[in-house]
Amino acid sequence: MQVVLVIVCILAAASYLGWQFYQRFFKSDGKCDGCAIGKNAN
Amino acid sequence: MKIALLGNPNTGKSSVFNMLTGLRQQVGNFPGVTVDKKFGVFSLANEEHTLIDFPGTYSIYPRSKDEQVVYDVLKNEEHPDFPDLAIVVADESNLERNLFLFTQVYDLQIPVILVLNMADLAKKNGKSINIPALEIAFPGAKIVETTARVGLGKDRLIQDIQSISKEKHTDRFYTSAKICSLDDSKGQEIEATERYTLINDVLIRVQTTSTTKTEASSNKLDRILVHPIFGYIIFGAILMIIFQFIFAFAAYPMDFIDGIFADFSAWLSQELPAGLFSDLISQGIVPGIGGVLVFIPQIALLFFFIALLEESGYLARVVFIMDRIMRPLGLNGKSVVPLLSSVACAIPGVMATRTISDWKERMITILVAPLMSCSARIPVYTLLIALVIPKQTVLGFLNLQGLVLFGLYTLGLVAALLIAAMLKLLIKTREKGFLLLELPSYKSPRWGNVGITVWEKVRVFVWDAGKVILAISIILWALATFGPGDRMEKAALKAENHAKELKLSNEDSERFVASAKLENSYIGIMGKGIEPVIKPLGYDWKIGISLITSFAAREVFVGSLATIYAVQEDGGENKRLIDRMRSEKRFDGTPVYTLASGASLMVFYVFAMQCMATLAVVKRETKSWKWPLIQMTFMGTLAYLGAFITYLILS
Repeated sequence: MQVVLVIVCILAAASYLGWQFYQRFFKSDGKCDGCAIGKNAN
Repeated sequence: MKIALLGNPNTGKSSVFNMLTGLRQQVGNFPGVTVDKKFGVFSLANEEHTLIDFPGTYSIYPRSKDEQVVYDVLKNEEHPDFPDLAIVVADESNLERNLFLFTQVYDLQIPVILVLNMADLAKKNGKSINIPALEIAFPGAKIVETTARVGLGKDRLIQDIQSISKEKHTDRFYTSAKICSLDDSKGQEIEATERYTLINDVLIRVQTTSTTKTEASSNKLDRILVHPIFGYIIFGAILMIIFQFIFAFAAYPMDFIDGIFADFSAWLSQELPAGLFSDLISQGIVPGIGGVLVFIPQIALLFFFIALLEESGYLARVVFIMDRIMRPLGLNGKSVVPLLSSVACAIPGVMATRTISDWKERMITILVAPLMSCSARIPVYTLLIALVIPKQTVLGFLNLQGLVLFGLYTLGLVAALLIAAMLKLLIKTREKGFLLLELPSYKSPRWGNVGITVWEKVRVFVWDAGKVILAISIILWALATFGPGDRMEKAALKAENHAKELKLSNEDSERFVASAKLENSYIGIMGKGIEPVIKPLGYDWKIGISLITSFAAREVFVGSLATIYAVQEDGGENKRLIDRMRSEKRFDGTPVYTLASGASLMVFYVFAMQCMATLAVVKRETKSWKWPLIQMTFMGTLAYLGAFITYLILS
């Protein structure tokens, strides 16, 4: 059971980092985390 | 109904926006706060209205990319954002300049409400407006006085929004009014001169002014605070005091949080059933997150002081005196705001460069903005300072650790200015930029706003950085726990035998074996691979791995070290990260963290572009990969060389 939970956590962490990378660099109008000024709709 | 919210910068436009829509935004006198177009929806008598917050501008003729939005929308009735009603927010204390934009909007014959904001300050400054007389000068327009910061005048403004005629009016203030083309600078100049003459005629009739105590004391203060010599001395002293406070006061809550996480991690190791998932929690997640959360007190203190300076009106004076330093270096005065914003975070700093009209000036500012020390560097700086800089006072009253922190911030600023000056020589610019800055009156800080700023910054630090740190801690733990085939087991066996031969004590033997296992894990193999590159800087492979992971965000460096050392020690001992780092030794028994290697790391982090989010924003703002890659390369080279030279000098 513990091994399964670890695998799930690792996959979730890797997917999250990959998704963040895609959002920031490749998605055209992504939300910018940490911005004092939000990027809102046009 | 579509309502455009227009106004000069620093007129409290954001406060009016918040007052009407109930949304919280950054509210302050710092110029250039509103860069993006924002909108909010509110309902009045079952009718929904969309309030569009336009960038602050002094005229409908743009001088920068963000001001262009105002021109583009207002000159084009077919534009999807063309408003049914315009609300022009004006600072009642500075009506002459503020009326310029209002009269331009009025002459477009759009239904318009003039909001005379900051009425409390105007009264304090001895200024009062005869509103019925002003309304006579602008038939068809509604005029309302507000103090939006505290919600005064909201009811009257809502009444006016509901009652104003939605049809275009037919009057003009400046009878020969027409929108000039953007190339027609002569036409714009004539219009400005004639408009100001007419505005002054109106103001003579409607405004009464008397010099007040507040204004007099504000002027007196300005004579000192923006003085060409004392201004800088005072600013330096204020910064010094802030850094002294950060070290003096943050130590107690930091030790408390650190202790809690160390105990919690040790407790988890003992109480959780043995197994991989338990190890992941006690050695990966808890130390990784705890290593970063411990810096909340410092982040909160820094932003508390920044918010105090902003709220009091002093930050605008800082912009003014910094402008003087920047001009001889050939920088646009408007670069000051992005650079100062970057002290909090380079992302809003880079976005604030949209106020710079010349793209080359803008590019230079974008390139150097991340050199300003941001809040993400605080965990790295403070950890390393506490580790290698002794706790002692210099000159009898200055805390040496606080002084070093001040030095690191100064180093970032000096580097940013010098590199900007060099880039300026390489890239020729066409136009000379200028900074138009209004110095707001000094006022007591509103503690609610200070609290919101601190809360917001801490929340962003914990939540946004925390998610990335959590994910990286999990990956790092996995890479440090597993290795290819049975390589880790073989290395452990070999180390055990070697430890027996060397007759090491039990404790030393365990450490020796754990270290050998870690070196043969995936992360150890990767770290050893990059070690030759970072060895000249005084770092070992564990620091090297943390440098790489901190590309995601600088504070990840601390979380990564916490995870690596926790795995190495099997999470058992309830040691704080700093104690683990202190006891970290090389093979020859010398400490890993010395003054030379610690200072080298600090210099590395002053210069290095270790922030994925900033690179992404630079890519988005410049619309190319070229500039973020150039930026990462030159900052990386500078960091490597700076760290190398520092290590050479101090070792």
